[in-house]
Amino acid sequence: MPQVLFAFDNVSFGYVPGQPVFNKLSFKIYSGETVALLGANGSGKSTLLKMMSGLIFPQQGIFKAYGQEINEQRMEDDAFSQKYHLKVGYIFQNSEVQLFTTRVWDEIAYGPLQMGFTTKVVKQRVEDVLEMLQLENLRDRSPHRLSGGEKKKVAIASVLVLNPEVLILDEPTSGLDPKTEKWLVELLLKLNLKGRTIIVSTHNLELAHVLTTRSLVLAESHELVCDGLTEEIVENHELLTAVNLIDEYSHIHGNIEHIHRYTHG
Amino acid sequence: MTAEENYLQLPEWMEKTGCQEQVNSSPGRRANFLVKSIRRMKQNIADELMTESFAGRQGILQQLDARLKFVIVVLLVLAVGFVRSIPILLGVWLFTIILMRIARIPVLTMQKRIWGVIPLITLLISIPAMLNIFIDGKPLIMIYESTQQSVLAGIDIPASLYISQQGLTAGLRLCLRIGISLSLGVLLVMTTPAARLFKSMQVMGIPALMVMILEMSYRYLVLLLTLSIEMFEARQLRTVGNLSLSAKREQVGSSIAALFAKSMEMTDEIYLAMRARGYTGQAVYITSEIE
Repeated sequence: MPQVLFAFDNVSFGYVPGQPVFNKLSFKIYSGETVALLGANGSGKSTLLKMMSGLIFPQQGIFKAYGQEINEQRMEDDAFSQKYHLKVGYIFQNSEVQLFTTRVWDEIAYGPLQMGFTTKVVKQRVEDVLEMLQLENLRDRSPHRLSGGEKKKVAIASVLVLNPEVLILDEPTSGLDPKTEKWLVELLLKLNLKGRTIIVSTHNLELAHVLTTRSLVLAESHELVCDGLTEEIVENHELLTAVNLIDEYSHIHGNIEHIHRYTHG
Repeated sequence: MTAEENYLQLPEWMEKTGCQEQVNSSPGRRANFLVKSIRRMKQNIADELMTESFAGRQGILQQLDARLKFVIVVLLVLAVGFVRSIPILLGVWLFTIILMRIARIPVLTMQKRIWGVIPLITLLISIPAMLNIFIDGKPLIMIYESTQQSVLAGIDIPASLYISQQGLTAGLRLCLRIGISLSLGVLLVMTTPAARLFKSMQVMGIPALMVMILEMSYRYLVLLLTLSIEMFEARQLRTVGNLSLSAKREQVGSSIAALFAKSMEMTDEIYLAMRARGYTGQAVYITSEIE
């Protein structure tokens, strides 16, 4: 029986009083799952991911991770916070925000050094990750001078080097070229095969389909409207249209009017 | 192994989870400066959202013409600068409180914020100016008293040193002027959507280019603040424990450098985006939108 990793029980959160980002969410995520959070822009996907990463906390309801309630007070405990961030890795949508050192090598080494690994282990891990992601030739480059795809790879490397059990990725393929996107999907599937739990937020239905088995759909009203198998959800056009993930437009070829579905991605 | 064979080959330590080789795990609780910084920055964003929310409400003051409000506030601030009577200043303050109440702005919260920092600091730093050395008058609080005048390091020290009544009145007047001016500014900002406020400045004769720069600064200040929050969050995820002062300095320094580099890149891109839409160095505006 898979272990419950994250359990949301009537969780609500908002940055401004009276304007909830999401409202009374209840669901569970199990170890080893690949889960997609689907929803249009502004539906609360990123905020939900940040809560799973222990960056923000419920204003109402209870959020548990590994069976323990996660709140601000608990995360202020160094030992707990350290263990948590080692287990749960978060990759931001905007790679820019993750890259703040002056050298790619230092960027990747930053996490393990902070977490208290020995210098020998840090060096070994950084070299391994550089090799695995084929970033060796970028090791001395300044992160902010890299291309979008390279920045994303370095951001992923800086989290993978900590070997987390759960990988949370916010819009992982946004702004990536098809080759890098394919590379990322293969990497995530491989990591899932090795037991990692993968959680992604996206409005790219194709990515959700190839990468995940389960999807949670958030409506623009900030409510969870569906929790089911991804392959069934991507075929449910009525649902996807209702949550503004696909749209329809019509045009005329000759004398025949066609209706096409427009998919966000 | 060739690079091709190595492609997506996981290192041995990544083959399984739970194999972590830490030597220093951090015990205890922290008062992490990253957490505090994030909290403070988020509060600023929430304040900004709250301001826009109040400005968009249906209230008497919110519905007034932005230009009229701007002119009235400028005139009132100037008048407050000239008024010497403390009862009149207190009356103007009461008037701003009534206006805040009418505009449905949380009076107590805003007054705490207005008076809690700048006017209070002004009052504190003006304490030396209240001394009889600068403003002579009736002694109120005696600090030092001697039988004769003395000279210290070439400076004449009077026989007595005290805070004079006239000095204290001047200090209070300064504090009141600043607090009331801030209250008037807050009232204007919280009852006028930012876009209308900036446009009304142009109507007042402030050059369009300057208004455009102010408008862009405001827009990108919020954007950079959001970017900073995420940068600090990304760092928080990989930082544990109380950092030493030098580590804090290093982190803040590198964050400033990274943010500066990003804002410089953004500057170039913004300029190119402006050029791409026909900007030639002359800001062109229409003012009818604010009516």
